[in-house]
Amino acid sequence: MWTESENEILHRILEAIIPTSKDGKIPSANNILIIEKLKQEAIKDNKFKLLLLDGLKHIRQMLNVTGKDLNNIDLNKFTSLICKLEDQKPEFFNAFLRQIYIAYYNQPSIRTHFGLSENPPHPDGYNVPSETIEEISSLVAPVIKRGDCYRI
Amino acid sequence: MINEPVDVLIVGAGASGAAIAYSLSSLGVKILCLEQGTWVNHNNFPSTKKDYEFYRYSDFSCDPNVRKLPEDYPINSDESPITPVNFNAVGGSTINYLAHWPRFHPSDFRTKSLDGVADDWPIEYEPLAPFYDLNSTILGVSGLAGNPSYPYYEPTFPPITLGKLGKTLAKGFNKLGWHWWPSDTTILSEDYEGRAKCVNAGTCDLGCAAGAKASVDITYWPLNLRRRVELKTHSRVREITLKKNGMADGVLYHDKKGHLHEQKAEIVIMACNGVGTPRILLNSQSSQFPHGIANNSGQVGKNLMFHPLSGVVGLFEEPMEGFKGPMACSIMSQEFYETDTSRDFIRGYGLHSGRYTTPMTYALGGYGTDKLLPWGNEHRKIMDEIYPFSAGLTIVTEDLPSEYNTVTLDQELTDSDGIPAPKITYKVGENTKKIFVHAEARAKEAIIAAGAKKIVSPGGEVWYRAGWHQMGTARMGNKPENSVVNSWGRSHDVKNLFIVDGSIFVTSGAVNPTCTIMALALYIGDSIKNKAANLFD
Repeated sequence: MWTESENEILHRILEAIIPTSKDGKIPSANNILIIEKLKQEAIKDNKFKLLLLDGLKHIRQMLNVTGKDLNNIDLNKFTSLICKLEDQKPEFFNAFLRQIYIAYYNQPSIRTHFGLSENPPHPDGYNVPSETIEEISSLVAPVIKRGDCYRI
Repeated sequence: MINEPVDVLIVGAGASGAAIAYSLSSLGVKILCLEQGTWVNHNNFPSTKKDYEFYRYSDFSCDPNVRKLPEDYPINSDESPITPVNFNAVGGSTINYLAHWPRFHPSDFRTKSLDGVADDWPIEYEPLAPFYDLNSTILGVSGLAGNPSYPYYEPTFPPITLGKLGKTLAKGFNKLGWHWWPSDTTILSEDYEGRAKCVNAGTCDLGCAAGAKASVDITYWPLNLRRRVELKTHSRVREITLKKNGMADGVLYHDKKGHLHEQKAEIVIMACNGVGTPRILLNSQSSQFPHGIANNSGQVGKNLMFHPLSGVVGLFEEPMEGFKGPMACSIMSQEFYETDTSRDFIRGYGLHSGRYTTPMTYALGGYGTDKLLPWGNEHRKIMDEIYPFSAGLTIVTEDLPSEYNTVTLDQELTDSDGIPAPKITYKVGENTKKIFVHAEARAKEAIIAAGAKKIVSPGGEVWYRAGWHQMGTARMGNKPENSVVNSWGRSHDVKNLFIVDGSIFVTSGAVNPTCTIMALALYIGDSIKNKAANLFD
């Protein structure tokens, strides 16, 4: 769907869009599964495909203008290129960003870093201890003390 | 194709259609319900799948314009800051609703008398109360008796778990001396009628595979079918037909393959929500009703009310575990629900502690909005340092009726059967804007009082994909010149045509309406039975 050099650019963009966490525990979006998801979406949605190809072409041209290739452009410079891309191709960028977020957070392993289960919510759900009736009674006592607060 | 006539024809198998079918089934007459969707398989809900979040943006989106399933109809919301959301299936929007179950206040039925705005309903809280109770028994409502913001009633079961988030916010309200109460919800805190209690999965909008959430396909419909109510799925009603004598003759509907059927009935009951019902009424044009059936008043499709929603979020010291527990229900405050003449607005609002949401939805801007989080290091910071520590309050405002806010028929857009799509024309009213200013300031106070370090999202934006509550478009009233149905849901113009969904609301209150929609449907069913001998007089 895209050239080898565009594929490399895509990897770099994904790394910049959702970087690795400070402690290194949560991986970046630069992941073959994300690329695959983007491809699937492009196959399914021709409008997204055209936007994506146009966006990749555009950033390649921007790189050419800098006279640098991907291997010797530093992160700050590359990030500012993406910012320009966001300004110049807002429709592409918004659709692209949305698909990256969907693909990234759709990975069950990513959810676990935020405390959620890797499993589907059902059937197990989450263990949340129920409050006792004494605890609830104590919490609502000041509300009851104030008396009725509706009009007839 | 002509089908065998029935005594009662109900259009729509959602909350109100299920309730009135139940009520009338005791008559022992032939009842048929036509539903454009079909049965959903609870074992196959997105909440049972590993990539469950993805379904929120595809086949299980609350927005029919995103879902685009064959049973959905498109909605033109280009001229509205809020788009209607729904689900088209047996069970209707109770399949993906969040099951918050507050009743209307007594004052909600008397806004003209009490506050000089809108109109009084032709009925009041008290006659509805037994039907609120009956509905609670059938569905199983969890909550705490003794809420001082209502006349006394008892929910069926103890409240669902408040959780860390709910308890934290409750303490904030207590510190300020403000009202709050555990949310009433049709999510079970104890096993009931073959349904398992809530497992705190946190994805109520993606279907409840435990059956803890009372969608009407697993509560009312099994009862209705046992009582010999017939339910036809994949049956999309095109228009209501009329006899020469001005009575409804039945309906025309399309089956799954698009074939047109004629179904005659002695009584036609509309139960298609505040957008679907006016759409069909307006599409039922004849020489007698050139502007749509039952529309001599010109009020069909007018006075559309949503509850404009906004939210304020605070950042806490500890993880708030907002993804654990029923999505929209924990606690709610009605401190500012009733009119206070010292404020610059009339009527009021509720502050609901929804829990929180899952990572993908948070990254995409939250539930009901499409504002993506920033990318890069800022994204990482928000997701790692804010998301887990967030708790917020949802502002639910009363929406006063306005003739500007309408459902009309789109001139170009149609569904797959060629039926004109509804077009929404809506703007947020000046009173509501003032409510938001007040409510956002109070929500910030409550969140800070609960211990938040700072406010990370101050509100200021009405949520777009949040038109759950569709009301007012065929309103009740005693006067045929300014209302569509009478005090027991019968059309003023067509005496064997009834409406039982949210379109008959006169005002919106500032609470989720399904509880009141269903109580009203049961009340209307009871009225029909009581007046059976002279129903068409």
